[in-house]
Amino acid sequence: MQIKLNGEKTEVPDGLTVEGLLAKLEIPSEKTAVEINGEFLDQKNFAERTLDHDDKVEVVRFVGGG
Amino acid sequence: MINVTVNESRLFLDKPTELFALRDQLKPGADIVIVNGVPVRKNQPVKDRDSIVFLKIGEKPDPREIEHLMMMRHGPGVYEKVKGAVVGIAGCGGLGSAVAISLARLGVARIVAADYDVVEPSNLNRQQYFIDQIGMPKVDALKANLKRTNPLVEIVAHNTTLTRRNIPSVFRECAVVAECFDNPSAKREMLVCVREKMPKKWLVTVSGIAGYGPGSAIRVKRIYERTFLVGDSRSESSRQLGLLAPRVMLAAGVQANLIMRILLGEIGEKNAD
Repeated sequence: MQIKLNGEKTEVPDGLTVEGLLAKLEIPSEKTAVEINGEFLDQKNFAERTLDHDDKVEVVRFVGGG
Repeated sequence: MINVTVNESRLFLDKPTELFALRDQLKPGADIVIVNGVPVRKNQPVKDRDSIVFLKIGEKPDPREIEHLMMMRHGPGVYEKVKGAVVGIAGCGGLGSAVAISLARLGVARIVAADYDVVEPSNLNRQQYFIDQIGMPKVDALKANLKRTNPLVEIVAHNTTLTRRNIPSVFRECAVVAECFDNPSAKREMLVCVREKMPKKWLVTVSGIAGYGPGSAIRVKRIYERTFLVGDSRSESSRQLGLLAPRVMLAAGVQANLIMRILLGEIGEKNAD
């Protein structure tokens, strides 16, 4: 199915979870903010939340240091 | 008519005047006389367009004078736009301490600074603290340093851990917040908290400033209308890749510059940075 990931049309497997998406992107979930269709998703829901066709997903990954 | 500036104020002299006579009239007892950027020891005629500074060593200028002197260098219209601003500094480490100093020199009205930590020797490789401040809570040390920089800026110091529960109240009065944490999960929490609970606030977060990679890789990304991310998004600090003053201060400079642009109204709908 197709989603919009950080503004770009992206093909992903049907039924992909947020956790699965982050694993594909090789991004650790505890340092990442995920917004789906304008709403932030709590980190504890990453494993259960499945993505739908045409979802607008924004992923902001943070690295340490300051 | 001789047209000069003395201590950043314009002065018109209608007859020939000697430098030391002018000093004795305007700042008797001044120890140092600077003409066009150069300290002078000998008396000389005041020339048209001279820029003159009279200083008394150890004298604390009064607040109105400081305001005038410092802000003369800002250029027209800048100080008026920033002097009422309230800015938050979340985390007073390498980034936060440097951003705070920049904004204090800019002359914002109030800086709200929060950090739970104390100054340690290992901080001094990149953070704006001094040897004689080791052991002090960072917010107290920062407050002292900022007061010495610009006594007009009000500093609100919160010696506390920031969490979703207190971030909205700590930064309630701030138009802009600088996210200056070290911990990436805390950075994430800040982003979510500001976007969900304080969506009108401007937020400048930072990600990826470690090491000694090119400075040009420290970029600005606009991730939401009022949220920016500064850094290279990759350079994570670790035992192998340290946090080093030049790059940390560069990132803090980019962060503070962006905050200044926000305060000056330079960021429209379409700006990338």
